[in-house]
Amino acid sequence: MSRRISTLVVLTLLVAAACGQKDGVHVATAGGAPSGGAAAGPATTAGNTSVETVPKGPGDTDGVTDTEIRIGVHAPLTGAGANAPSFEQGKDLYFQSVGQINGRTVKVFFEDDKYNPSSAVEACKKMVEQDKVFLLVGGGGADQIAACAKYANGVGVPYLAEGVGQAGLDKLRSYFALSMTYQQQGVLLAQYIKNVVHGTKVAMVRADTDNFVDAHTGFLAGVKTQKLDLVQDVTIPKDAAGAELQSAAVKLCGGTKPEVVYPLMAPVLFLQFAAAVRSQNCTVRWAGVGVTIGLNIVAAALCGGNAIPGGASFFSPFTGIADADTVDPAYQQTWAKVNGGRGDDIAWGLWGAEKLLGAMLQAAGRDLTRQHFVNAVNGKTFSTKAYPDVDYSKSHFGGTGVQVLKADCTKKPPEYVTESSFKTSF
Amino acid sequence: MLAFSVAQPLVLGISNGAAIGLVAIGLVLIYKSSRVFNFVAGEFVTLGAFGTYVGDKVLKLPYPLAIALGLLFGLMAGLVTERLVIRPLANRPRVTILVATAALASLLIPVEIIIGGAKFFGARPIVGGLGFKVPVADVYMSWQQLIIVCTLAAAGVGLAWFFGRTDLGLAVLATSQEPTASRLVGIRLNRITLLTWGLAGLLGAVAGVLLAPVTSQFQAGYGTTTVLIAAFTAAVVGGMTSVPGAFVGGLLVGLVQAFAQINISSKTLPGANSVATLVMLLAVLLVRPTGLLGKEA
Amino acid sequence: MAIDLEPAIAGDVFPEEHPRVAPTALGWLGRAAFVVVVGAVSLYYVLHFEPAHSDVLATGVIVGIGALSLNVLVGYSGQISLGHQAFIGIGAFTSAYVISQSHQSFYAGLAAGAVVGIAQAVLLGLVALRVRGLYFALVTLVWGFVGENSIFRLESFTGGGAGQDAPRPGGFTTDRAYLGLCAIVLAVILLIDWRLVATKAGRAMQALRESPQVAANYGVNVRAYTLLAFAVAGFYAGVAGALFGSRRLNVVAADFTFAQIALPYLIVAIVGGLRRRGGIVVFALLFVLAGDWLPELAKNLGVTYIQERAGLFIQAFTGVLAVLTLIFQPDGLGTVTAPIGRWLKGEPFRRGGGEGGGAEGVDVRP
Repeated sequence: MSRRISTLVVLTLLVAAACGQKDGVHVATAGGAPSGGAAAGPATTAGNTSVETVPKGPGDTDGVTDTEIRIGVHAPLTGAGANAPSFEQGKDLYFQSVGQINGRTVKVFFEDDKYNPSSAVEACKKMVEQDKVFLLVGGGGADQIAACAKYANGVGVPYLAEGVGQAGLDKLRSYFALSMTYQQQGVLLAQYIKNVVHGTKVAMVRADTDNFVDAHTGFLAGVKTQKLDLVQDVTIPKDAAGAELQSAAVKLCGGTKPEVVYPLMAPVLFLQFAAAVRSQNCTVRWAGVGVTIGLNIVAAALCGGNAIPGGASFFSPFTGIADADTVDPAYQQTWAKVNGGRGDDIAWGLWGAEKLLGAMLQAAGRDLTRQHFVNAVNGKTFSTKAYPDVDYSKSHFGGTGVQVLKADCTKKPPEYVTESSFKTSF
Repeated sequence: MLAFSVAQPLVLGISNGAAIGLVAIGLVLIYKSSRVFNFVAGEFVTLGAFGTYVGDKVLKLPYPLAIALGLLFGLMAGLVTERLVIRPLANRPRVTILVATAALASLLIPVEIIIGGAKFFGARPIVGGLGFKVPVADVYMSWQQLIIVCTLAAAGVGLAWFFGRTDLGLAVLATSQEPTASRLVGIRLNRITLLTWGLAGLLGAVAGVLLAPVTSQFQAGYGTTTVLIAAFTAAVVGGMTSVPGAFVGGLLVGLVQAFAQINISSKTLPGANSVATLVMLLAVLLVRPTGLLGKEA
Repeated sequence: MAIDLEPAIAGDVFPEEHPRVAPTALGWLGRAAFVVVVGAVSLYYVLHFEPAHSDVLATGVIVGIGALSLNVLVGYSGQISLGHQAFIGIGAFTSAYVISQSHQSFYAGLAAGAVVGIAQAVLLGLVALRVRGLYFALVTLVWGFVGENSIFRLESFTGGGAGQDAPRPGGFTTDRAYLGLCAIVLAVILLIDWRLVATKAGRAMQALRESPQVAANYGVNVRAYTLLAFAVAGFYAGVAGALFGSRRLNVVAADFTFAQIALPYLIVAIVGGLRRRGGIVVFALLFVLAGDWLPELAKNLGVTYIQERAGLFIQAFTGVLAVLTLIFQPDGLGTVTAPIGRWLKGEPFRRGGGEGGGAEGVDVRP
C-alpha cells in the first residue's frame, strides 16, 4: 500500500513541478510584477555615495502621473501599538498644506499594520500592487518597519521610516531612515543618563526581537564609554502577559535596584510593565527611545495609572505637541482647516516625516522615477526644522539628532512636553 | 542566573495560583455535573472583567455595583451556555461537547472585539495603593493579590459547606455520581446542571474581576490566553473531580509557573512557564492519572 | 433530532441498498459540463479579479490543508488536537529558517517543514498512546501554548518578535502563481488523503476511532496506526505551515495563536464535515472568500460598521455555524458536497451523507 502511495506522490510531484514552472512564468510576464523575494543583491556598504541601482522593473514610475504622486503609509491602528486613529486623520496633512510638489499633488494611501510584521508586509504589498504607490512610509514600530523595508527593497520601492534597528537593513538600497537608529540613539541615551539624569545604576529591558539586538549593542557601548553600571539586562517576550510581566518586574527590582531603566518594547507592553514595576514599590526613572512609546496617549495611560512616579523621558524625532506652534505653525493651521480643532502629536509626528519626504520629492525633480528618487536622496542632506536634519552622505541611517520628551503628569490630560530639542549630544 | 529565588516566586505563585484555582474549581464543578471539559471557561473570566469595566467606565456605576455587573455577566454566560449549547448536546460524545464549547469561545472572542474594540481595557483594583511588603521576602504584594488569596479561601470554605451541608449540594454530588438513580429519587437533572454552569460562570467572573487589575489591563480573549490552560492543568493535577484538589492544584500550578518564570531566564528558555505546565501535566497524567486528590467519582 | 449514543451515525449502521445504475451518455455529458463550468468559473475568478483575490484564495487553500490535517486526527482516527497552532507554526518557522537562515530553496524549506511537522506530531502521538480522550485534548491544548509561548519565541530559531523572512520560490512570486502552487500541493494532499482512506490504513483508523480495544482484538496494530494518523496529520500541517509562511512573506509568532489557528481550523473541519474532504476544502474556501467579499459588499451597501469589522463578524458567524453544525447537522457541508461527489462518480443523485459521515469524535470516558 505504502509503495503505491509513494509512487503516486512522486508522479504527482513531477507533473506538478512541470505544470507549476509553466504556470509561474506565464503569470509573471502577464502580471508584469517585479520578481521579489529576499535577493539582497551585492553588498554596497562602502559605495553609499556612488550612484546606486534599485532593481529596475517595469514599475519604476508606478504611482507617478503628470499630476499626481501616490504614496502609501502604514502604521498601527490596532494591536499592541498606540491604537491611534489620528494616524489616519493626519495621513496627508502636510501634502494638503503645500499643494503641489514639482507640479504634482501627493495622494496618500493608508493601511493599518496591526503592530504585526507580517501584517505590515501584507499592507505594504497591497499598497504597492493594488494602490500602485510610488513609495512607502512607515509610521512606527521596529519590527513592522524592518519587515516592510526588506519587502520594499525586494520589489524596488523606496521606503522611508523612522530609524529603528540596523542589522539586516544596512544593505537595503531603497530604505532611508528619517531619524537616528536605536543603535545610534543608544550612545546618546547613555550620555543623557550620565549627564542629564545623573544616574549611574542602569538597566535595560527589551522585547525579544532580532531587531533590538543592535539597539542593545549600541546602548551597551554607550554604557561602557560613560562608565555607567549596568545592573540588570532583561529580555521579555514581545507579547508577554500577566504573570510573565510580574515576574520580570520582580526580577528587575529584586537584586541591585537600578536608578534608570531603558525600556524598549511596544507601548502596550510598557504600560503593563511599568504598572508591574510600580506594584513592586520599585520607583525608577524611565529613559528610552522610540516613536510610539513617546505618544501622548501613552503618557495619559501611564499617568492615569500613576505608573511612573520616578518620571519618564523618551527620545523622539519630533517635539512635544505644545511646541508645534513655534516649530512649524503651519501644522496646527492646516489641521484646523482640514479637521477643525487642534491636532495631536501623532499627526504632528507624521507631519514631520512627510515634510522631510516632501523635501526629498522636491529634490528628485519633475522627472520622477524610483531610480531618480533614490539617487536624489542618496548622499544628500535635508533640513526641515521639524525633524532633526538628516545626512545620507555616510549611510542610509541619516539621523543626526533627537528631541527629548518628558511625561508631564500634572497636565490635564497628561502629555509629553519637550525637555530639550535638536540635541546631537548631551 | 546563579541565585535561585525562592521567596519571590512563592509570593507571586500563591497569588496567581489562587486565581487559577478559582477557575479550576469552576471546571471541576462542570466536570462533576456534566462530564464536560469546558473550554469556554476562559471567556467567563473575560466577561467578568469586561462587565466590571462596562459598569465602572461606561455606566459610571459605583465600583461595588460595577463588580456586581461583572459577576452577573459571568453568571449569565454560564447559564446561557448550558441552555443553548450543553443541553442540546447532552447525550453526545464528550469530545463533541468539548469542541462545541471551544467553538463558543471562538464565537465570543470576536463578539467581544465587535462590542468593545480591539484595544486594551484598563482595570481598576478594589483597593488601590501599593500594598504591603511581604515579611522575609523582598517582594511586594498588592492588596488586590491578597484579596484574591482570601477569595479563594472563602470560595473553598463556601463550597465545602455547600457540598457537605446543603441538600442542593448533596443533590449535585449525587447527580454526578449516579445520574439515573438521582433522577429516580426525584432530583431534576436539568436544574442541577444549569445550577453548576451558573456557579462555574460566577467563579470564572470572580477570577476575572479580581485578576484583571493585577495586570492593570485586559483585552478580548484575556481569560482564554492567560488563565484557561493553567486552570485545566490545575484541575487535572487535583484529580478533575475534586474541589479541594482544584484548590490545591491551582496553587501548585501557580507556584510551578512562578518558579520557572523567575528562575529560568527568557534568553535560555522563553515561556518557561508553559513548558513547566506541560511537564507537570504529563507527569501527572502518566504517573498518577487520577490526580493528587482524585478518586473515581 | 435523533440522538446518537454511538459514535457511528445511525444511517450508516444499516445503509440503504441502492442498485447501481449506470448513467446515460447524456448523464455523463451533464457531469462533464458541471466540471467544466466549475473549472471555468474558478479560472475566471482568478484571472478576472485583481491578484489580491488570488492571494485570498491561496489562504483558503492553506486553511483547507490545515483543516484536512485536523480531519485525519478528529475525523479518521478519533483523536483530537487543540494545539494546531503549534503544528502549523512549527512547519512555517522551520521552512522560513531553512530558506532565510540556511539559504536553501523554498522546496527544501517545504520538505523540512513537513518533516519537522511529522516529528512533533509523532511525539504527541506517543503521548496519545498513553493518555486518552479529554485528557489528551488537554495535552494538545498545552502543547499549542508551548509552541506559542516558548518555541516560537526562541530568538535564534524564529527571530523573536521580528520573525523570519519567508520568500516565495522563483516563478511563484506573484499572487496568482502562488495560488497555483498552493492548489497543486492541495491536489497532492487530497490524493494522499484519498488513498489513505481507501486502503487498509483507512479501515484500521476507522476501527481505532470506534474503539481501540475492539480494534486491537481484531488484530489492528493500534500503536502503529495511531502514530501513522499523527504522522499524516503532522505532514499536512507542516506543509500548510510552509505555504502559510511564504504567502505572508514573513513568519511571526503573532500569527500562530490558539484563537487564530487552532480554533478556526477545527471549526472549518467540523463545519466542512468530518471525513468529508470535499466539504472541508469547499468550506475553507468559502470561509476566506467571505472575509474577502463581505467588506466590499458592506462598503457597497454603505454599512461601514460591518465593513471595518468584517473579519470579526465572519469569525463570530463561523462560531455559531460550528455550534449549529454539531447540534443539528453532524455532516456539515459534506451534506451538500458528498451527494455531488457521488453523482460525479456516476451514481444517481441522492441526498444524504452516505457512508461514514458525522461530526462525532469518539466517546472515551476518562
